[in-house]
Amino acid sequence: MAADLTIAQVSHIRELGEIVPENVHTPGIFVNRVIQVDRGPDWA
Amino acid sequence: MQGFDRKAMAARLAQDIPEGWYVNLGIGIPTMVGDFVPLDREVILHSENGILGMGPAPAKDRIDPWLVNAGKQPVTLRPGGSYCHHADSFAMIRGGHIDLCVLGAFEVAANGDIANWATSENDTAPAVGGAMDLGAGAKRLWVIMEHTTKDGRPKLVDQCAYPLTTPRAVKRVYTNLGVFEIVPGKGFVVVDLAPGVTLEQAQAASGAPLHTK
Repeated sequence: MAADLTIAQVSHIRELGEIVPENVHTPGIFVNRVIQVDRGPDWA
Repeated sequence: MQGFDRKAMAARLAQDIPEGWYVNLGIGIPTMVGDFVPLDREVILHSENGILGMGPAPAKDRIDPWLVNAGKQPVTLRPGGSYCHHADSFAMIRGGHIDLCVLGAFEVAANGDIANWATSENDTAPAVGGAMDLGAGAKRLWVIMEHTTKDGRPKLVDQCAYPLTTPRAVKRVYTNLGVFEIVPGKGFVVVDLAPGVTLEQAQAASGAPLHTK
């Protein structure tokens, strides 16, 4: 929200509609780039 | 004098919304704009009560009474849509994340002042609502309205007589007579006139000079 540029690092990219609307915590209006990375942090 | 009817006005405005914009539509004529965005163009509608990806009104037998827009009318949600807290919704508005807001108005002045919430200082209702935040926060504000009041008084004016919603906020005005850009230092500049409408007719219906490009 506050940043000029927001990059979302995600494990999975889903089709529109696959994420339940109430479960969206950061809507796309705040996200400028998406990068899909297979492996998350070591502790995940 | 012909000019656009309300649907044609809404369609004319919808034509100018590019792919990918986040758009908030105010109550009244602005809500019609959503119906005229081409189906192959992705425009994401924001509703200030906390919806991103608002869809059109549902069929009468498929109304979900819990899913309404800011004007309390039933709506649907497009695939990929989401809900958020009212405060987050206003953070989107105030934080400049909304590309376009379309509002109706009582008056728009040549410097972009908009009056659309009260017709006298003694009005107790309606209150200004989210229009104030939208006017100040949206990246651009376009107004869609009839060119004159029911008794023929101009709504494009030199100075608003009614209490302002937001000063100097309006960038473009779409009326039944045409499309008018507001250029700082110049005032209203004609972009397009509606079919059958002459510049003289539009000027006669206006309370401020209409410049040509």
